[in-house]
Amino acid sequence: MTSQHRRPFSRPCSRRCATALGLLVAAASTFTLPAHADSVAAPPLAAHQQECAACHLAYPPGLLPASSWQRLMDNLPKHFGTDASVDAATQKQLSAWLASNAGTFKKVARNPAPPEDRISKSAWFVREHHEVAPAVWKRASVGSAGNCAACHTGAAQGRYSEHDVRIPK
Amino acid sequence: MATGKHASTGKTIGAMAPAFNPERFTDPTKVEKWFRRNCNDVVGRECSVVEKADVLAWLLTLKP
Repeated sequence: MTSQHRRPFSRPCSRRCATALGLLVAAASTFTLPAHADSVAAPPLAAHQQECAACHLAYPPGLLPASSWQRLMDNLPKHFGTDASVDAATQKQLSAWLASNAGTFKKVARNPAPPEDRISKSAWFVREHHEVAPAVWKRASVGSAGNCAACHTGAAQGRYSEHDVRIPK
Repeated sequence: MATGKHASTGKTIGAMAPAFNPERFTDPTKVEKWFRRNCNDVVGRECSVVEKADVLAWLLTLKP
């Protein structure tokens, strides 16, 4: 390949070019994803893994509205019956990140704050899990509705598609 | 080495004794954070320095 051919590719991408690429990627995603996206990826934050995932799956911020996240973050010393307090700096950083990545898509927005700010009590959650028999939730291998990864094998990577579901015995 | 499990969330909890898990008690900030949380959960208050030392002393007696 001559340098003449290489040049267009080695040139740093301008802002306009980056925007165009972004749109292309966004358009491609629209065609490959199901009608309602099951990926809830957010820009990663180390504190999210360090603090939240120490006790439970680091639930994607997109699964709760901002108002719920704010209440949860304001009450960490009494977090569903457990002291989950963090230092002030971490609290501030996590709160800001959750606020900017909170759920805004239709199914979250329709039901602004689920009872007790529990993801598992959101109307969309209940609806999408109605095929799961009560006995399945009680299996030792599942434990609770909060244990997403028991069945959603890609949960830790933010993948909740039905294709990745394996219900354990 | 057997691993523990969080009672309600199912999350894996590694061994507490340093002989089984050398990373334990090497980060003072993390140690204080978890003593604060766990003592509040178990006895409803923060633990005294002596109580924390007792927990450590016991964990240090556990050997493979």
